[in-house]
Amino acid sequence: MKPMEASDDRYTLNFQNNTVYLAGDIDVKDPQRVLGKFLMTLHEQIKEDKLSEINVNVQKLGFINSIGIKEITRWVLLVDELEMENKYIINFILQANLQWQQLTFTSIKWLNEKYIKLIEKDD
Amino acid sequence: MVTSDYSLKKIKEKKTILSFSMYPLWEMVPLVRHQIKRILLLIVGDVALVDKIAMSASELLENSVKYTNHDQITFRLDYQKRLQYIDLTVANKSTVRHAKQLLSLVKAMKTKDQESFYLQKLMEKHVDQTISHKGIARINYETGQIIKMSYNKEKWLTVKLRFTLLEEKV
Repeated sequence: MKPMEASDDRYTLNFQNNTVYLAGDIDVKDPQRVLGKFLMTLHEQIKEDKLSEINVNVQKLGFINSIGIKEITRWVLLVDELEMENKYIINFILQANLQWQQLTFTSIKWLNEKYIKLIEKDD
Repeated sequence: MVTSDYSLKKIKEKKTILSFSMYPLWEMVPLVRHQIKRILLLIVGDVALVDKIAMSASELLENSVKYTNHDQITFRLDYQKRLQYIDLTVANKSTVRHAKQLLSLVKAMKTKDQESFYLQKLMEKHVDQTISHKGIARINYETGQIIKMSYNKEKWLTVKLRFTLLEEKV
């Protein structure tokens, strides 16, 4: 898949080597404008390339508001709606010492337990 | 009303850490959240708890900015050293309709499991995102705190949360 990048006032999105890097603070009023659009494009490309797995590194994500969570939720639920052979696994890579990331992404995992994995890293 | 010396003393022990009014401008919310976090870290040793308070403040202020029909939002953080808690209070003027929606949401939250209520909110597909109230459900789930809400005759909607401290710095 081709690298992709996007940014808003307070956060950046970068896709390379099968990993999306989410960094900064997603606390804007309309995350659907950049984050939502990015995830929808990514989802279409993953389907097209028939990928079975993708990583989302949020170690440098400082904050995400509930509207931002909704955009990630929308993506996760889209994966769930795919035909079995097109479904793919999303590995969220979390910063080990950030408890808020555990709390926030654990609830997202519950939406699609089979296809979402949480991996903690300490670097 | 008769107030005992003990309760008077308790009231005096409650100190306001931060109190301000702000214009309902979205771009101010992240600035406020960062400052709240920095200020609380001077008092509270538990970083995870500070993150929860800052997240709650941010979600409540975002709600206030979105829904208020007035040009002021009030914010307050109070610290009770002896009883070891921090109260977070956010208030804004609101329409009766919106206040009723929120009050019934809070009432519904009390009767349901916090986790399943939040998941249900996350899965809802709202065409009009302004009425989803996912932020309130998130606070309820991620902090585990009881959200107290009131609405008065002057149409001020007040939301209050109490966080118990396990570790303090000062």
